[in-house]
Amino acid sequence: MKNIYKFLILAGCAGILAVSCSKETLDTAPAGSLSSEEIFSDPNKAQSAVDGIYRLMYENGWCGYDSEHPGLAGFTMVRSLMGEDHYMADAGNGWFYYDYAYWIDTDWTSTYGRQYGTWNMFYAFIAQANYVTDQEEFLKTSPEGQNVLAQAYAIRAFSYYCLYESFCQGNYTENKDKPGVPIYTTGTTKETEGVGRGTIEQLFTQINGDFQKSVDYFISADQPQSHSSHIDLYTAYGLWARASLGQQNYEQAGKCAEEALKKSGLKRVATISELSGFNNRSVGDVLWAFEITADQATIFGGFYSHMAIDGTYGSSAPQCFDDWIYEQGMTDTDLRRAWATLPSESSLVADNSMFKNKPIRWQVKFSFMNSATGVGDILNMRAEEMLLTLAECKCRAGEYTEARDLLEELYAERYSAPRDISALENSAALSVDTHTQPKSLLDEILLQRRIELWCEGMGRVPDLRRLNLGYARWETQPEALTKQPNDPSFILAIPLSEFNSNPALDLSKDQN
Amino acid sequence: MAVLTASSWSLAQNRQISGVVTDNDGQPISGATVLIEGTSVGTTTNINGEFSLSAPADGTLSVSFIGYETMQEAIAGKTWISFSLKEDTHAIDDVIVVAYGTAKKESFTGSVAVVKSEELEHRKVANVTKAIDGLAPGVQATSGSGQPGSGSTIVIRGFGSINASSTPLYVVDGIPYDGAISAINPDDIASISILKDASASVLYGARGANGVVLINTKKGNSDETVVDLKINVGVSSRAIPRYETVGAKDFMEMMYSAYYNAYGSNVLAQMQSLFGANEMYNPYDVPLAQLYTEEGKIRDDATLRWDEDWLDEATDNAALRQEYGASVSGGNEKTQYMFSLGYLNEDGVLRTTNFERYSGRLNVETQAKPWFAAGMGANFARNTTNSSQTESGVTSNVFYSAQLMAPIYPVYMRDPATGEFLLDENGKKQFDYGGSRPSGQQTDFNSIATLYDDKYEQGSYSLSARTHFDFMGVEDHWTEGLKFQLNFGTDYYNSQSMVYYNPFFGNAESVSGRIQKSNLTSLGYTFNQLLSYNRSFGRHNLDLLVGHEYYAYTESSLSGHKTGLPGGGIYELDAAAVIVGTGSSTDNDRIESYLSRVSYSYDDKYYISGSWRTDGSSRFAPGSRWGNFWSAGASWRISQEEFMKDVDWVDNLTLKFSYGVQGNNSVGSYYAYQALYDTSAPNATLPGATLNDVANAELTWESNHNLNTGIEARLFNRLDLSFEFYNRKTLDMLLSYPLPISSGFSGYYRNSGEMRNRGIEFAVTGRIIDRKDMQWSVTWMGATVNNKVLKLTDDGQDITSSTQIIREGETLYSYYVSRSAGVDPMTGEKMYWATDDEGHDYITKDLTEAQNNRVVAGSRIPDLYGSLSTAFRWKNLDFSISTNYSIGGVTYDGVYYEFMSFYYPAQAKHKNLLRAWKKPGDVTDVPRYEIRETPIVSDDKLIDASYFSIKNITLGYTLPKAWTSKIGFKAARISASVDNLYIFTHLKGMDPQYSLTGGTSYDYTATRTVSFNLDLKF
Repeated sequence: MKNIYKFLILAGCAGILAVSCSKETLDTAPAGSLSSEEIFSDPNKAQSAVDGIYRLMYENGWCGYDSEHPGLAGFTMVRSLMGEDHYMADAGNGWFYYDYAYWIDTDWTSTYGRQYGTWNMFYAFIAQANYVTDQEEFLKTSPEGQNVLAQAYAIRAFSYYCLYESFCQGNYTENKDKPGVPIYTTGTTKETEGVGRGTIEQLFTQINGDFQKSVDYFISADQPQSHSSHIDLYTAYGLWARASLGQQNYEQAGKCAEEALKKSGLKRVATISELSGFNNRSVGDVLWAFEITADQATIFGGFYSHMAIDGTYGSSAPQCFDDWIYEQGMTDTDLRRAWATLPSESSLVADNSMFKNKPIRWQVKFSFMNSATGVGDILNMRAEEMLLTLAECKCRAGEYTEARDLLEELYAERYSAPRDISALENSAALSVDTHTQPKSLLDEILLQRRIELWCEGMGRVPDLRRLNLGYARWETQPEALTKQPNDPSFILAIPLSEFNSNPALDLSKDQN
Repeated sequence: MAVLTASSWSLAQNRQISGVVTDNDGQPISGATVLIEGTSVGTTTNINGEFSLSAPADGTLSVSFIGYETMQEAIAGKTWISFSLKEDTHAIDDVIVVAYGTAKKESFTGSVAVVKSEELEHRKVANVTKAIDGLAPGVQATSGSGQPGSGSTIVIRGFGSINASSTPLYVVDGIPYDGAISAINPDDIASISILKDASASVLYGARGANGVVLINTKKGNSDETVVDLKINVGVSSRAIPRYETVGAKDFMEMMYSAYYNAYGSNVLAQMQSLFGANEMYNPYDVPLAQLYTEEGKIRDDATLRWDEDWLDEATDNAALRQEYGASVSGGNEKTQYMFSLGYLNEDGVLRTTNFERYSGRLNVETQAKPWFAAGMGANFARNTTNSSQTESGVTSNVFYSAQLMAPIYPVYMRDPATGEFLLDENGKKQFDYGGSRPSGQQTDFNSIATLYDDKYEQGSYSLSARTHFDFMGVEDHWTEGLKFQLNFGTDYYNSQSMVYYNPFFGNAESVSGRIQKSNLTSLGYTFNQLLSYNRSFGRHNLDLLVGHEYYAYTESSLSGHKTGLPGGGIYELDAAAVIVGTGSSTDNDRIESYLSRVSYSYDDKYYISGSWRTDGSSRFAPGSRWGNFWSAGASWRISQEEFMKDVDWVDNLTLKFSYGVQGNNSVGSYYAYQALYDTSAPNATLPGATLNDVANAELTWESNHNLNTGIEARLFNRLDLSFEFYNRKTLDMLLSYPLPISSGFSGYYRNSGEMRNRGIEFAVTGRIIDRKDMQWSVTWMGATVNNKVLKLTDDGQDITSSTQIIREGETLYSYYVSRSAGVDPMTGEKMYWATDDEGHDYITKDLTEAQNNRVVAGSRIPDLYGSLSTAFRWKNLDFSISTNYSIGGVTYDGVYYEFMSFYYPAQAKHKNLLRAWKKPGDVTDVPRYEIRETPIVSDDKLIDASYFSIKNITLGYTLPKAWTSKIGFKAARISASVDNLYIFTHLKGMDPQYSLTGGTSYDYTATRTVSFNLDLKF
């Protein structure tokens, strides 16, 4: 009998243990994550949803060859290398060289190459921005919230514009009925379905509409720019100016550029020494710049690792100024030649480098702020770009005097002796050959754009497309290709994985 | 001690009978039961095996002892009878270890395959998953990485899911195991039971949808203390041969030809960049400008000064392996114990890689009281691994970069003028870091140098414990048959790893060195309470079980990353100057379950069982969290029927059937249903958050509906047969449901789709010779798996990757490739078939059109796979061979095609390129050399994946008892064995077992080991 009592007591204890365990919860969540409700409960937290997008804009990744996708800066590099003013003296590890040489066309079938990376990246920005704009009803009730919304709309508009420049035909006036890209305006849920390409005109309607909304919210919110990486009213105007140029809408572009330059405290033209290295966002002409801190710097594959002469890749695959643009585009008094002149006996070029003492124009425009940590800010938009955009629009509108005045502002800090442009014709006539000296005022403005904005902003190809220009690369380049105006190779093929996953697209009809 | 049980009849006619009972080898057996047939009169033998009892002169004595066949002998007037008992190895077979207990194989309604320790012992591996290949039907295994300590991936009865895991649940001593498999010393394993159907794995139903691998460790014994010492020393080398790439001369000529195709007469100027600054990589003594003849051949009078093989330089084909182990087991009737210690040190075939393990295990079982039993097992292991970068496509992965180096680039610096090595001041060779090597050929990098200069190290501590407390009812009491068990098991794992890049050359040169350290800790535990009732009433037997179980798993990680080291040889974060980043995270996973089972049997002939359980998982939203699973099974021992009693050539014949539903929740993320903002990516100093998943609150368990039916037979006491048919249907598959890439996401998790795996498995073992001094048996196992994706998404869309497709109605991961139309003999270009809108086929050379006309062209899944093995024993000598075979299936060998590609022109090339098209009129299957072209995969590039591998050959000699007892040992055996001797495939260099879904990669090749073993017992 005693055994039974022991048995029952022990069994009873065990039974209690069994029941008490089940009080443990089966609800788990990753530490350090926040739900959508929490993020958008408060406009200050909502700002972090936009800061997340800015972070994505300078992250590497996006495709298998992640070293050649340093976010937005990578996009700029590609659009520059595909032009005629920027080349790589050697393939090095191969990153970006294949874009420069136009060898990437077969990469569209994989998720490794430029096509997938570009498509994936911009649509990722758009998706994140859409989650923010979904919260419009709540966010528009406060100034901080409106500021957040304004940024999201600007990001979305700019991303769609970049997709246009990558995947759609240029020369808007002629080709606005050609296919655009799929447009999504709400946050992705499991119910989201793929949409077709639509037309370029529809795409620009979306872009212009979003920029308008963005500008309106910025004006109504009236918040100061809390960090150089945050898009503010002036940056939004600047981005809208870019998109307007792409749309060949010069009147709108001029208006936007003018508004952008109204930023208080903005230095319209910074000096060459202030801009040394292009890695410091506190220079007065900066409208939009990313700050790269040491723990976020990407040593392999970051923008500077490719561009800087002592970068991991830049040291073995030199990024160079084209010889024509250096010798003939720039004159002896052009201070910007310093951007392509190696300091003599540069210690930054390794002794065993096969490029030591080679007659190439290494770019030194961009360099690390601190090469040990890989730190260097990324300047996305400067006042000078707006100045030149405005000058071009004034010229096209017939306001030649104002255009010349704007050029003089730039020359003051860029030439050691006054530059005489009195002989230039007051017209918006365009020279077709990009390797001739300027004949008209417009030619001069466009030449100044090429020099000033070398490997910046949207790069060279968007200008070529809207101007309907082709080129013949200078013969000293390793890949001295010739391109027709609006050459089909300026456009990327849509990646195969989009066709595989989007039933609204048909590979036999919708591919570029 | 002789114990007499008195009986009161027939004493008058009784006589005193004595005798002795010994085993096969003449050793006395004490404790054997000697019975007078037909009575309950008997005795047991004493320590010398002797017995003495009073028996009728015309009676029959029956002698039995566990593990031996019962013997009978008529007394027939004798006064002395000696019995020599024969081992009944088959009787021991009959008891298998299953979920929470043991069962007799013949009465078990589920499908289980058992691998015994004797078979495992032949294979000298660090990680036991590598030993399972070919030992059980229906189990597929990959070859596994050659990195010492790494394991193989196992799949049982085909792929159960697309995005959720398809690998089985690993259980150690009854509790699911969360630790590292490499922390388990294979010598500690007594047996492995592989549970394949619903009925067998019902007690692990929550995660047993893909089968369960039960690892049971050695427990003590109740007879005598046995001490076992083992020493094993072996040498490892590459198991898979190298791909046949060309040497420097052929390579140089191929380059000329390829560049000529692209640049015509400008060929030499364009080729310059291949040879570095000042032609330093030209391996001939003649400058490039004069090196070639008009036809692009190397001049006869040019001398080749070097012809390098990078991978050879990094390979050690005599890597040493040594293993030492000691175990002690013993006990008495009440308590049994076992403890063991082991040490393993295995060098890898890739230089500088290594695995070292110290392990110890203790198992104690005790029946402390008639109503209380308890046991505890604990295992400790300290593992240290030195590995290398294995990510595909990364230059520091030696198997990627070194394999692809063209033979003209020296590993060590050479004088371009003479070809001699350039030695440093100590007279040693210096690595060539190739500042001027062309793109893709390790510019400014030397992956072999990084093997020595960089480090990938990991050390881990594992501690696992299993314990149980059983309260049972006592006999002749109303509680008889009642049992209450508490089972608790925990696995603790702590690992510290470091990645170190040196400050002088390579990846971290620009930042003066980099150290990344991370620490991972995980703790998993399972606690269950089971109440069972097992009682026999006459010929009926009833077994009831109800229980509750709770499982919790927590994993946390901590990491630090710094750069800026003051010099070499420093491996601590304190020494580095610049903080790059720190991070930490914690993850949790929980499951709660309620389970029940009923079994009934009649007359040891008819068995029926059923079970039901419900499980809740933390991976699903509260509303969809619980899944219900059940099973039903029956078996019929036909051989026990009256009508079978006379058929004495049938020793056992059992027919069984089961059907059940099991669950699977191991979808990629612990938080699969949630879409949360990830806050780990700040923007400079501002917090940043991005949404990285799309939510699905309806996500729930994937269910596997398994049907299993089979027959098991033993005939003529020599032939063991088992044959099973199975049909597994997966419903509500956990699928990464595709979203258009333009939505910003590639997919979200959703229960969508159905898949079916169906096939047969068989195992035949014939004991051809079965005598006392000679035994020879042959075993043949085979299995088929027929996989079909029945349903995917609502609209039946395909899921396509670059070369494979998942399509309704087709096999999973079917190859989806263009159709080759051969090579145009006039131009050397590759041609493809395409179909126009009217259905007419036409030939095209356009890659877009070729991609548009892809077709399904087979899959990796074989038609039949299995193993064929034989074991032979003659007196003290034993010999065994096991081989594995796989028939059918195709694979795309991406690594081979990299050697056949000119996308990176200066990469190593395969000798098959020598038969490429050269001039109009050539008829061949290899197109002309086209540099910088990305080739696409066409159906002619799919290679037959059939193979035959000689997995293990073992030869052993057990020293005669006479000798060993003289030196005080109980038994001594020496043996020699070879693992992975050779694999016959359709393409030299290809590893068809790299992946079960097809394809190959730049992975650490599997190894072949030749070893010598000494096993002493005393």
